[in-house]
Amino acid sequence: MKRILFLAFSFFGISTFAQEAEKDYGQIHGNFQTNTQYYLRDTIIDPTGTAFPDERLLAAGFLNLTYSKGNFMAGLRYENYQNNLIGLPEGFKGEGIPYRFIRYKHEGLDLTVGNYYEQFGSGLIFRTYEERGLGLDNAMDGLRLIYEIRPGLKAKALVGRQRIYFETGDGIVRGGDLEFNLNEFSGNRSSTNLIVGAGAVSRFQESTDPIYNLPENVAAASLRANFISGNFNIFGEYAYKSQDPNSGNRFIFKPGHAIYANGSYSKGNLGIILGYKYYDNFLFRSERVANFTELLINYQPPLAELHTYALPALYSYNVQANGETGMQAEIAYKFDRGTAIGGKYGTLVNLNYSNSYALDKNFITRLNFDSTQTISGTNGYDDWAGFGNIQYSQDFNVEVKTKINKSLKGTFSYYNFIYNRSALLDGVVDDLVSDPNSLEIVYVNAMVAEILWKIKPKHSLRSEAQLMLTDQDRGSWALLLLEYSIAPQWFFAVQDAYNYGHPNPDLRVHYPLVSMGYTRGTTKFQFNYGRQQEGVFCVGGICRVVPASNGFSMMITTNF
Amino acid sequence: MKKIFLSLAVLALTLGACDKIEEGDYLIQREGGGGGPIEGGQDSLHVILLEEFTGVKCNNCPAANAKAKELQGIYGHDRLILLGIHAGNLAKTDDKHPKAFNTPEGTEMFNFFNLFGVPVGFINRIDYLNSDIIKNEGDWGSIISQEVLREPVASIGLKEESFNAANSTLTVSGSVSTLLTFSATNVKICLYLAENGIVSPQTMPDKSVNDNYEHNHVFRGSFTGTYGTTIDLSSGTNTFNESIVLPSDAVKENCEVIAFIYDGDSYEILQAASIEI
Repeated sequence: MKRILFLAFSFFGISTFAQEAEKDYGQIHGNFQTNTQYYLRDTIIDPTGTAFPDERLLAAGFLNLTYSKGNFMAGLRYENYQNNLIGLPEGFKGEGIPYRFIRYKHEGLDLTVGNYYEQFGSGLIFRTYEERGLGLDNAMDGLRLIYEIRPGLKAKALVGRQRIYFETGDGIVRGGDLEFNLNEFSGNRSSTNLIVGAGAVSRFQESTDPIYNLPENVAAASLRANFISGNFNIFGEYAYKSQDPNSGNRFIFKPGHAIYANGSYSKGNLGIILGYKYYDNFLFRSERVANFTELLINYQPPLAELHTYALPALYSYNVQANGETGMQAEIAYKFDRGTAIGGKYGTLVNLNYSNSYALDKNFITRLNFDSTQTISGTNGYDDWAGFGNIQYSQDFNVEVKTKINKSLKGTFSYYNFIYNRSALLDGVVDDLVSDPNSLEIVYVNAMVAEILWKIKPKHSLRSEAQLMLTDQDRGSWALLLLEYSIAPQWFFAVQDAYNYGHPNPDLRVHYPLVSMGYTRGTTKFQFNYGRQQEGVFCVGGICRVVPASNGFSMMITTNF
Repeated sequence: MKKIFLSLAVLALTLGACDKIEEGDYLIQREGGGGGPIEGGQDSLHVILLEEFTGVKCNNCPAANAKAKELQGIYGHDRLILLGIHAGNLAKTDDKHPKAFNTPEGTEMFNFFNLFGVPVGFINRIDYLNSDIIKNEGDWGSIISQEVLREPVASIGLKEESFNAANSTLTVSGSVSTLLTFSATNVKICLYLAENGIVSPQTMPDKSVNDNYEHNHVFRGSFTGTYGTTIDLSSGTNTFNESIVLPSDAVKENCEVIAFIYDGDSYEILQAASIEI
């Protein structure tokens, strides 16, 4: 640790000296962030005190430092959790430098030693990344070699273990990827291009399980192609995973399959996107037993819209690890100014539809030691199951963006959701569902109107009015937000979310929140005070539940 | 071209790095359908205590409980002792769950060891010092398979001394003897009471509530407080005699007593034993 700190301070010294001597001693860049929250006991939204921490005040932050000179780059990230904020994984506790690397590039060679993030194709077989809001960081710690064999032909090879909090997992991950880009290869500048790729990843983890003969080496491989021609862009990837009995799939032995396809067309004012997904037993981790966001090797794109407004976001979709299939269609059209719908300034209309279903699994069971039936220790179910009779979600939404006059802009949205709460929030997996009618399905209609009023130069008022209607779950909500900004430095906001339709009259409560922010250069300060409703925070189809809380919070970010 | 072939070879090697288990070999076959790899009496073997944290409102807990029982079926009651500690938010009563079985000692452990969910377990409380004491259900089998291979460092003798039906007071006694390899100096002894065959509602994996669920090895309380009492083993042996008042709803004939000694510095359980009352 002392050596690393010495190196970091040495880098600062080098940078300062570089300015004075005007010599190239390299550059240091970095960014810093801290989130601090002081919690207040609120017996209405948290009667049992579940989300009220013993510490009262929790703080989490990090500092990234990157030094680069010519072909050489080195960096580290110091992280600090005293302790982690409520709702985020408690495994992040304490402080340390879990991320450090050295990278060297020379004549097509790109070599990294230490920690790195990488992705093959769409991520179906390999994607390591960091998403702090989810408490997800599955960075590799090992070696990575990227080599451009010739223009248009790139190879990647890697080996290492994945980060789990301040440690690395037991499983060894190794992989390779080869990508061919026709235009770059041939030197063409055509608007038609073909990019094809193939990748493979395998994991080794020792097994001493007394019940199952578990494969210690598990591999996944994929083929992908991306065809681009004029207004069309079509991408498709198929992936296969060998037998991988794990706690997520209840120790079944069938191999996994995944298909992800996406096509888009755009011309003039029209844009169309169509997507299809089929994920069958394709959760891949570097340890057989892990929780939530730990040690994920791969990534399954959700093909569902990520909602940003607070109330629709309460029913965001998260990918089901045990398999699902579905589609997404999106049409965007900009009505020109001067038309009936376009009005004086033009109007953008966006329609989005997506759905997800369980696979139609024909379960294979065996007699367990206690004479019950179990799928563990069997193939689980037949390959290539179609759409099942359990619907996980349906999302239809329309968004209209328009400029009302010179100082007013509006965004108006309508949402219609079918949300399988039992599966998506409570984690009831499909092989345990004897009667699909017993699942708790939430039917939601929601509307949002957002108005941005430019009062005068640099001064604007943004307002949001949200209404979400449902007879299930926590019932209906209404939300009003007013945010006054003085660009580019200040903003002040006040918000109230009211859960007026909660089935329990005692919980029909207001969630008021006041915020202010100040920006100076690349440094931002933000302060909040109030109640935060329980919700789901999702990024890329991975979600975490955020418990209700009450208190002060502060966030500081800066870049240099 | 050579480089392309080399890249393809790397891919092929990576893909080839997978094991194929034939369908008839998914389960490890045992002669007679059970039994651990080591035979012998309880006194001469390293005994494992699986403390399973659970809750009546936890829908994933019945599967974990079944896994624990399956492992006990493999290793035998003499080698693997189970204790179901009901604690946390999912071990609280509500309209559908009139009994929750939480205890002050269980709650104290839940908080002290920084648990935040169930089902999870401790296996002889190993790995406390490296912050890895919490073991997920899927890992229990692998860890226990390694723990049973360890040499015993002590033996525990345990017997029922008396039961006073008038005040429901149960007294047990016993002795602890160290073996040559025993090295711990700060040793504590714990005696816990567990009850089997309690029929009471439990939330099941599909979120339904089974009113006739049979709860076994339920932690009902401690003879010696949450963390036990110090026992001096410097001479190689020592005895103990402890009493507990049974909970008013406990059925004495369904109870068992679990005794274990542990290293007071690492919390690691060094030996365990149990008797039915």
